[in-house]
Amino acid sequence: MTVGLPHFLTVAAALFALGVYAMMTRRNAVALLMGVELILNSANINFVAFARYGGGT
Amino acid sequence: MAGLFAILAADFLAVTQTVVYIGGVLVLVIFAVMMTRMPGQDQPRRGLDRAVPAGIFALLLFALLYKVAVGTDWHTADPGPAVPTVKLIGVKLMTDYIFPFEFASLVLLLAMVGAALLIRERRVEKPADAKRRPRTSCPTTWSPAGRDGTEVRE
Repeated sequence: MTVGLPHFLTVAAALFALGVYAMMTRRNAVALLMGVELILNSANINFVAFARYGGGT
Repeated sequence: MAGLFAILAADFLAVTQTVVYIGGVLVLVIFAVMMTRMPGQDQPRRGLDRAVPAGIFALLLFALLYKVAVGTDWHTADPGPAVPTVKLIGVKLMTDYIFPFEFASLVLLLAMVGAALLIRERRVEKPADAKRRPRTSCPTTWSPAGRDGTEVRE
């Protein structure tokens, strides 16, 4: 099977959930920033995946 | 993650991700390790207290996002051959997006000058204290509210 758009969206969703979990559990400021980094990276993966596979009407 | 970007034919983003994370986030993780060593005794109690509802919430969030990502009928197109994006990004950055590019450079320059100014101001203000404690601990423990408190206390 070929790798399609839902696979990348699934990976990004997993990263987003992990980032939210890290932001909710950790009280340390730097660990909280690491959770923010995970969330922003998942958003970036979504952007690039849609730019690559999107385009239909 | 850079491998993911490379699969998605975004080579500029892959290389940028690698370089930025080697440089910046390594320092971030080192600071995290340095700062979490001191309050180590009360960290597991609070973390375990909120780990279960946060985990449930994160799992529910992932289930929702997975359902949306798989169940939606995305209007996908054929990806086509992979074009190298570095030249395109460079040309666009210097022609169409020249104002955001220069604005970002200005913001970064201001952040650099501000950081240097903060450290220099502290060192001039308390030369004996800055000489006494090691220099790497200054930016991590410093905050505008905490400086006044330490000044009053000392």
